[in-house]
Amino acid sequence: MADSYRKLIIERLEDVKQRNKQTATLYNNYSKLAEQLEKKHKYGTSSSNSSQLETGELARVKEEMAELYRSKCQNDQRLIDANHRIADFEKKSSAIIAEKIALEATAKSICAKYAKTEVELQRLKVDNDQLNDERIASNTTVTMLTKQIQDIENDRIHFLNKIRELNEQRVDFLNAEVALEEKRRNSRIQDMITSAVQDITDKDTKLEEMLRAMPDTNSNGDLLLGDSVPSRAEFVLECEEGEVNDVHWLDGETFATGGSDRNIKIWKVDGHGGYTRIGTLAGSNAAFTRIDYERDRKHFIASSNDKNVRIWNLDNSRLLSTLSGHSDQVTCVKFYQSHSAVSGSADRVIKIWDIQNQRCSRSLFPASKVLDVATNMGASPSLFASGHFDKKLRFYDGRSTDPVRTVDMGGRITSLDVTMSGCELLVSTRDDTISLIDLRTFQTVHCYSAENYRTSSDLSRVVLSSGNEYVAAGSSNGSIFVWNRNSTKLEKQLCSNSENAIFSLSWNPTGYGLLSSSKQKFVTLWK
Amino acid sequence: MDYEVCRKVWESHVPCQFTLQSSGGTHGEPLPFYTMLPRFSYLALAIQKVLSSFNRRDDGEKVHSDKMWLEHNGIPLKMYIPIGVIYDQANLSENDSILEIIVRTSQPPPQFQMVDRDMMEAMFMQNIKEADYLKTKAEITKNMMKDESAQLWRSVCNIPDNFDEFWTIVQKLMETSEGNEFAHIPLRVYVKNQAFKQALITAKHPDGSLRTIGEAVSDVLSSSSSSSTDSQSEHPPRLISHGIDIPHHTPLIFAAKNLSYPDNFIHVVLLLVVP
Repeated sequence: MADSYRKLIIERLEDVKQRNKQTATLYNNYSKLAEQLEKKHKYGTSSSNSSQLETGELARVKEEMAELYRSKCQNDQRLIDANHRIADFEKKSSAIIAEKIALEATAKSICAKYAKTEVELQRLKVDNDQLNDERIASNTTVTMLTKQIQDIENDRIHFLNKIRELNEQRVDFLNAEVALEEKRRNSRIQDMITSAVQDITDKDTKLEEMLRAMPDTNSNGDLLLGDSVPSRAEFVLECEEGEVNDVHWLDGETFATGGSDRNIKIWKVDGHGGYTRIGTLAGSNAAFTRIDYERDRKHFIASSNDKNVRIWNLDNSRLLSTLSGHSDQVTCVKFYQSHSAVSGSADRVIKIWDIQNQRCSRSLFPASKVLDVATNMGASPSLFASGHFDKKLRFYDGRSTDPVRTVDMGGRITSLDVTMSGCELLVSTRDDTISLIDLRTFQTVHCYSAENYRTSSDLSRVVLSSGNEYVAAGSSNGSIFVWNRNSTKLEKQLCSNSENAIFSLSWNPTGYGLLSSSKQKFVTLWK
Repeated sequence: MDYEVCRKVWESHVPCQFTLQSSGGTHGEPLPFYTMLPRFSYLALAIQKVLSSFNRRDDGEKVHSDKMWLEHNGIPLKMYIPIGVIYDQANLSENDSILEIIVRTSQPPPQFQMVDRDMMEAMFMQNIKEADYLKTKAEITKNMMKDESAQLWRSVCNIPDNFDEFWTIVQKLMETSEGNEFAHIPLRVYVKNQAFKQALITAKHPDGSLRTIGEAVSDVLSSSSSSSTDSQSEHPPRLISHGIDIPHHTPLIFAAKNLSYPDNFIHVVLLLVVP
């Protein structure tokens, strides 16, 4: 009983399976066919109709192939025949070409021979022509050379004659030269003798005149020979450059010049009209304007347009000091008292310098451009005068800042000079007049002028002679006027070659000799 | 478990025919699709292949799986019931007839429920858990690995190729721990034109004797409705499962272990005998 249901179940399941088997087989085959159909549809294979078409086409292709094979055989045979014919033709062609080559070789050989013959013939012709030309040339040459021989022979004879003549001339010239040399030497000796005699005569005459005058000395201890009115130019000295603003005698034989060349030059004169430059003082960057000299200590002072005042020692030409302080061109400078100097400037300031300490000890403000200063007044050592652009002459005492006296003049004051006595002051103004003022009364005692006299510039200088007998001034027309101090009579008018204005004058301490400096390079010594 | 019985049941197939009937009618109908379907499988898994076959033709409109419904003899089919059960309900075993299914593209009737592959898997796993709960209070399914569930479903989808995988899993489901019996037997009884019937049925009688499947079916019917009384008075009904008559004297426990479908339920179609 226990196994009956199991057995029964198995039997029944198997029975159902068997009954479904046929259907299952049918269904499986159906599925396979469907799959195959799907694959065919997917890959696009041909159908039976296509197969039939392929069969027909295959037959046609086979027939075509057979026909092609037959054509191929025919073509092959034809190709073989053609190749045979080509070989035959090539054989014949080779033979013909060989024959052609042989014939060409023969022709070439013949042509070569012909060319060679032609060349040789041409060469022979050329040689013949050349020989003929040479023959003609030789004949010509012989003729010409024969003629040349004749000419040369004639020339030889001619030259021999000429040589003889030239030798004679040479002897004559030599003799003439010797005679000429001797004559020239004698002539030079004669000229020297004549010149010496004449010079001595002229100088001795002047000396005799001076010796007849009273012997005297000036304040410097120089032998004062007496003022002599110059009459002619001893020499004319030319500086390198531009104006010569000032000239100053240092002693009886030495003077200094200063100007646009920015150098102070020291010159020495001999008694025979010669001069030599013996020194140069340098240091300025602009033109020098005024020169002063203190003989006792050999101190040399100069003012310059570079706003400075410089002091040198003339014993060794060494620059001692540079005094700075002015703010414009320094127009004038003078030694003052024992160890001081006074300078005036275009900046309208007067400065008193302590030379030992190299500093400015006092500044004075006259409110007008300073054109010249004068020191060494006799009334008082501390008194000095200044001439101004505003036509005023101011007198200062070094201890105070205000002028102690002011004198009005007729024009701009260009130059001042003090007499040896210190009691009178010579004043040059631009109204073309020169005045002499008594320093005790401050009154004008004399006035000097001339018809053609013209003040040269604001800085042109006027001087008294060493013995104070004469007053000298330079004019703008290049002339120098000399007046008698006391009588105011015009003693002399010195004319130079040029018409350049005279800037400065300096009278020799001995009284004999007047220096003038000019606007154009020239310094003239008048005697 | 009986390997021979399980193997034969596993390999059972039924012949099916799918015919497309579109609402248009202007184009020619495609040829019907013929295929053998395993009894353990579901229409929800087979329909996709059928529609691919229909859509392969060049003309005609496409049939989409979410816009069609299935019909047999004018009755909409349930796509979530094993195919073997549908075949048994059609009462086609004796004549060896083909299960003819019509694929319609018109508006589906209200009682039809479209089930796709994912829904089918979910319903299958739910049935597994329900059966296990009836048997062992869900003890076995609680301890199952995730890959074991997937393995079971995969073997069901690939019938008849993966029997070994199926056999390994189903043995675990049918075995109990030592000394314990199944608390209840998962049993579903299908009566014509009615929903299936299900009741709590134990493997043994209170007196300890084994309950037979005939008794179990009678118990299910008596507990569900009173119409079964009439049938009892006449000849005993035929119990159809896997295409065969199950002997009434078969122990219920044997049927549970060897004649269950993959969802672990015994599906029995009740066929009344006409005198």
